[in-house]
Amino acid sequence: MKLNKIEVVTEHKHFQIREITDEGGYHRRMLQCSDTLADDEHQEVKDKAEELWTDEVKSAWTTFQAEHEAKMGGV
Amino acid sequence: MSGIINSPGSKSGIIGTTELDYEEGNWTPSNSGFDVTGSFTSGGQYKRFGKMILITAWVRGSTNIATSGGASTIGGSLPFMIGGGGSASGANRLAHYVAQSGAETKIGYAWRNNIYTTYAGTGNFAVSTDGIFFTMQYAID
Repeated sequence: MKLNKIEVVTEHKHFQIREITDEGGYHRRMLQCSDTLADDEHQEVKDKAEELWTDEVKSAWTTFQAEHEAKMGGV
Repeated sequence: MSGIINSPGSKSGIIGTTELDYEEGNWTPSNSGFDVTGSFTSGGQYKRFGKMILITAWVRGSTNIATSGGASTIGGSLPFMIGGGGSASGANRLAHYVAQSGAETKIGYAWRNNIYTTYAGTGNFAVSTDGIFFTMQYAID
């Protein structure tokens, strides 16, 4: 799939990614800073992650997510 | 022609002059939190009407699929971040889904970009050989 757009959303720097499929349609996905990027991830996505997913952002997201899941009955 | 998007006269009846953004495509739920026997497959579609998103999705195991106690996050990677509803911190980025698994129908919640199982007795999905099917609509910022 060909990368079409990367939008950075929320203070935790989630990536909202739009790609174009081989058939010409759109495919969307999101990545969060706690994700491990695949080896075959688009280089532009890797570069943006390197730039924006700082240790501070990762730490804040991990804490925020854990607080939410505890509040909602998760693990 | 009023009411037909992207056609002459399509603004008739719409307050203001902003055209609704329309987009459709696919998304792929990830295998996080599912108990899969066999290989995992998934797929989904989305439609965007302005700031409203409608998604459908399915997940399957080649033998069966379920969720078990302790699994909280399932099917991550929604196509769009759920809107904050005016919350400064975005803590209110919540939406609800309806899911079908065999004869079971469940209502669960999604937060930010992930779908969850455990909340208000949503409970787990029993073993299904057909898969689990989701629908959800939500607003974005």
